Amino acid sequence: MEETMNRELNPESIENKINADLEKQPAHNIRACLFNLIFIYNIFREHLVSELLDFLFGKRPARIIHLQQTEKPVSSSYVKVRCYPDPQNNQVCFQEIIIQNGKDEIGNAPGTWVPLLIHEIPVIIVWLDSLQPFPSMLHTISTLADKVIFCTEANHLLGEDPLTVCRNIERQLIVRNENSTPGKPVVSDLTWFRSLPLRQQTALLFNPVSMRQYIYEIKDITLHGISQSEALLYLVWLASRLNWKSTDVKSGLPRFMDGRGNRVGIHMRDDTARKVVFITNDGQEFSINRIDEEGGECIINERHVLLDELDSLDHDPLYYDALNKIRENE
Amino acid sequence: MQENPLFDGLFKYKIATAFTIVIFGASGDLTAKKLIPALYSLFSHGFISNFKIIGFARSKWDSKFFKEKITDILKQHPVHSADTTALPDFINCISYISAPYDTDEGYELLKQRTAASAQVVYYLATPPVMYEPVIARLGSNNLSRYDQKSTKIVVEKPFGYDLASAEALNSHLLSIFDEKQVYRIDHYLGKETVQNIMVYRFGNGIYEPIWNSNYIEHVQITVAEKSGIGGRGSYYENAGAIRDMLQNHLLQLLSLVAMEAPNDLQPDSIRNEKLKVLKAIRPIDRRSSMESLVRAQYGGGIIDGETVKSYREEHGVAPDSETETYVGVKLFIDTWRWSGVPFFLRTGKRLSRRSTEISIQFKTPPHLLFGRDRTAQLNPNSLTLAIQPDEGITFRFNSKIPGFDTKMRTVNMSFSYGSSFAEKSPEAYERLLLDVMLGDNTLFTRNDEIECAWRFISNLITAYREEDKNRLLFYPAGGAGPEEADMLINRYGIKWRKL
Repeated sequence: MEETMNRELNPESIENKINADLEKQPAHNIRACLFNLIFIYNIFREHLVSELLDFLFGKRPARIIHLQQTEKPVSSSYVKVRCYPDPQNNQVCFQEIIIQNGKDEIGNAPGTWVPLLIHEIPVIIVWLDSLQPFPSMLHTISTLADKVIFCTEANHLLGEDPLTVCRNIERQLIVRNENSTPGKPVVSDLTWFRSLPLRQQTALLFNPVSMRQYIYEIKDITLHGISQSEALLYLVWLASRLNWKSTDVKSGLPRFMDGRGNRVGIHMRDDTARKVVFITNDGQEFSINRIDEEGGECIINERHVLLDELDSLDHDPLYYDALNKIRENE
Repeated sequence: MQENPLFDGLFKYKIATAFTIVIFGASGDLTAKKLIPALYSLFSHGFISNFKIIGFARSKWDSKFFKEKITDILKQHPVHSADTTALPDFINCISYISAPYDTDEGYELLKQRTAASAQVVYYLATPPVMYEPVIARLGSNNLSRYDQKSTKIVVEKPFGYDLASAEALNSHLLSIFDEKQVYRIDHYLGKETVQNIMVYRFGNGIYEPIWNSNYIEHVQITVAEKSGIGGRGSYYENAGAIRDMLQNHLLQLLSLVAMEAPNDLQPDSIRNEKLKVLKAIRPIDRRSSMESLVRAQYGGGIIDGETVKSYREEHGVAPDSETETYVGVKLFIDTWRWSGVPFFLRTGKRLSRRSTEISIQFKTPPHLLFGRDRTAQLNPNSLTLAIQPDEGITFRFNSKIPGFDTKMRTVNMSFSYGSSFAEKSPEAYERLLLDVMLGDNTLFTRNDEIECAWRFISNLITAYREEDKNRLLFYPAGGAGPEEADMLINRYGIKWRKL
């Protein structure tokens, strides 16, 4: 791996450093790149991003720009080139540019890093920094992006309210009628994918013919060992599928009324085991207790999901529908 | 019944439901080298979880010995030896039946062992001569159709020896099973890059308008092998390159390149379009065989710095064998799209390099703007789909060399799978076995496709046998094939792509 310090933030100088490091690589095809990937995160999360990229390394070649948010007075940068040879000695390379944004805000300025994006390939932003309040920078850079990936779990761990975070994402970035504003990026959320096993198990629980009658009879749900952000996305998914109406709530978890106007009880329980218990209108109890995903900070557990997300520039309509439930009664 | 609105859009991959796979020929090479590693890979990746594997063969083994053999195979496997954590659970699912293929004894035991299975897959990995007795006994023991059970049968190539034997085998098979239960495997169709031919052609709008005789001058399909026949001498003696490769792999590649866009991705929609291509191949008769066909056999030579034997010196091969190990053929597809476009197909063993590729060569510009002499020196545009070993796509075009003069040269624009998608593609057998379990027969050959391909091949064989002058040629191992194969293509003012 080549790593070159570069205190300057001049794009041409950074590009020259990358080129110089690429030239030192032993084999051909070193310049292939499938996408530009921009990570925006606080420097204290550097190790997490690093683990995420270690998982992707050798799977897809990419130009990666890190916009690290630091407390340093002056912004700086360095570059890193690493390549993974396949059996035919093709090199799958990461061209990484690490920009440490300081208090001077020069690192964050689009003029610093936009010239470093490779033309004609997708731009994907992974936003792991604060979303409360919604950052103006995200507005600016989302116009450059084909896709913006969030992780509301990561924001929750920063002390932010998941409902507010999702509401901000929905309001600011989700396009309802895609034909009218083609410039908007696709939005996705790693926490949404984290909730997939939970959603799948729920769908399977109610799938046998004998269970279908209970789908619209859910009166009460208790979530054990599930984080607030995941619970939120899970519940708005359920609400969107079962046509529940959401009621106005400023923060925390939303409240819902079922199709007959009855309130659906939602309870959260701290627990080490992940479990969901449903109680129906006639008092029957059903539960899901084989949810395979473990707890922890989502960006580590969702590495494989990130790879899928980088391979697709499509949005998940279920996610958009679920977020729409958050907006419904604003 | 009330719908389940929670189910929509949640399950990205199909997971096979519970099944039992019965492998006939379980003590053979195919089982050890392909089937067991593929099933283990599917298991360790979670694509199959609830299953039983029953090995069925004449070898006097028992379940314990079979399990030990499979354990050894997987522990020594180049890929799976690295991670054998799932091995104990996998081995637990295995049992073995030692019995002749042509008596009822083993089938009665098989019936007991599969009684509780909702889905049973029979895999014919035996020598082809055993297909008929196995199919017959499955039928006579009522193992082919159950009221409450899904049964399928997978048939390995070669599917027949000629048109008559293929028709007989189809007829026998379809007297016991329905066509929808039959999966005729051609592992080439399970390769990722072969499947990509359709994605490339029909998923990109730019190619379809020029994918015809107005723009394409000719097409070359090459399947070159560096290896010889290995231990398959007795099989290969009766097959040769025409039956072993041209009848199936090359004609399947040809049909994918030349087919019209299917209306949808339903298995029969795709297979109908492939069948139309096979039906439209102009037959090669005695008169045309001289200029359309080259058959040759490898002599001794040097490969990778090592001396290798001639074909006639290989184990199991007659010293005066007339079996071809190389075939080059020129075809025409008599359709509106392909009228007048020659397709050159070649395959051979013991050639200088292993390479499978399809190359589409386009016509030169209609008006020679840069002067006849200069244009003549330039290569026409070509698009090459490399299938193995370096999967990728290369487009060749002409560009100006910088300077005051208008000099041009040919340059390439390349896409390499290796440097773009570095993870391992599923092995062809993994993909195909999973498709069998899922009931998707898109990548399997239908009876009419097989018979149509054999009809063309049988005509070809009859033609060269009738034509005395179409003798067997010889080429040194490690080369590019016989010189006469060059003449096949040179008369069109073109040449084979370099191996």
